Amino acid sequence: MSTNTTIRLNEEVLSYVNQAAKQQGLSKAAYLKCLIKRGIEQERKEQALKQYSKGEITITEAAKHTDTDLWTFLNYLKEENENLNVDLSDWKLAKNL
Amino acid sequence: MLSSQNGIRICQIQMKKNLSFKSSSKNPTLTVISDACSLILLAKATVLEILANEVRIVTSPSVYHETVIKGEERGYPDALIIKKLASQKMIEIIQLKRKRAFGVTLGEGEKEILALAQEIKFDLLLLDDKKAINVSKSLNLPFTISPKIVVNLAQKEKIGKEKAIQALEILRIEGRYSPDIIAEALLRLR
Repeated sequence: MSTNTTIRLNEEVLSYVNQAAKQQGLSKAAYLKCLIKRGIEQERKEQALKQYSKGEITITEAAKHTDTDLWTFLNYLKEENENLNVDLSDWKLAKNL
Repeated sequence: MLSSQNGIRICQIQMKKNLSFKSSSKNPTLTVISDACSLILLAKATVLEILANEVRIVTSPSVYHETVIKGEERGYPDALIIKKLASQKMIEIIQLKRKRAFGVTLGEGEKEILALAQEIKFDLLLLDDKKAINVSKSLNLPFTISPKIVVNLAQKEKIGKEKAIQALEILRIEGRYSPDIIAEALLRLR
């Protein structure tokens, strides 16, 4: 189910939206929906990465938060040039075989 | 005389133990419970099969699903290595008897392997995740991480130094291990 919402956009943003929607052959509403969806996906990824880096969520939780899987999230870390959240203190406490 | 005979017996037992250890490269007493990330990273680093030859690797159904089923769906070839080892029983998938809570949120795989650690006898948890490691610490469960596995395999001469360096490089680039940890691991190889 979808509901209506109203937002106010300044002239500059509105002009860009009109132009980009026209170029892509979309209505203004369809283009805005597309932008919001992509923005939400990106925001979720960034939030998951931030929480993961702080050790607040596990790597599989981070993958789930971004609607993906562990393999893809590992690739995302690479794309973003981020590291696993395991640190030197863990290395020092890690036992030998 | 009696103590001398006992000494000989102890010596004979010790020799038998040494011989039986040498006859099999696998240490049957060592059980490692692995999380999904570690299986993926060690498969990428091409040392998972070598580890599976040395120790008993155990994991859970959720970890299998995350590594093999999803990995295959996405077309990752390393998922096939894990699948092959599981089909050969070199990685054992153990069903949990009951679910447990740990007071913090965790992914399904992490929850299952930490619960497994409370149900079966094991020697080490293999974890490559800070939050799961923290839970392991709080429960006083012994853990290790993938770069230490690579160093240990080299120290036990199960892999050569060159292979270990390559594996650590893969853990740094593909596995996203921090350069600090990889530098420490490389130091241990010298």
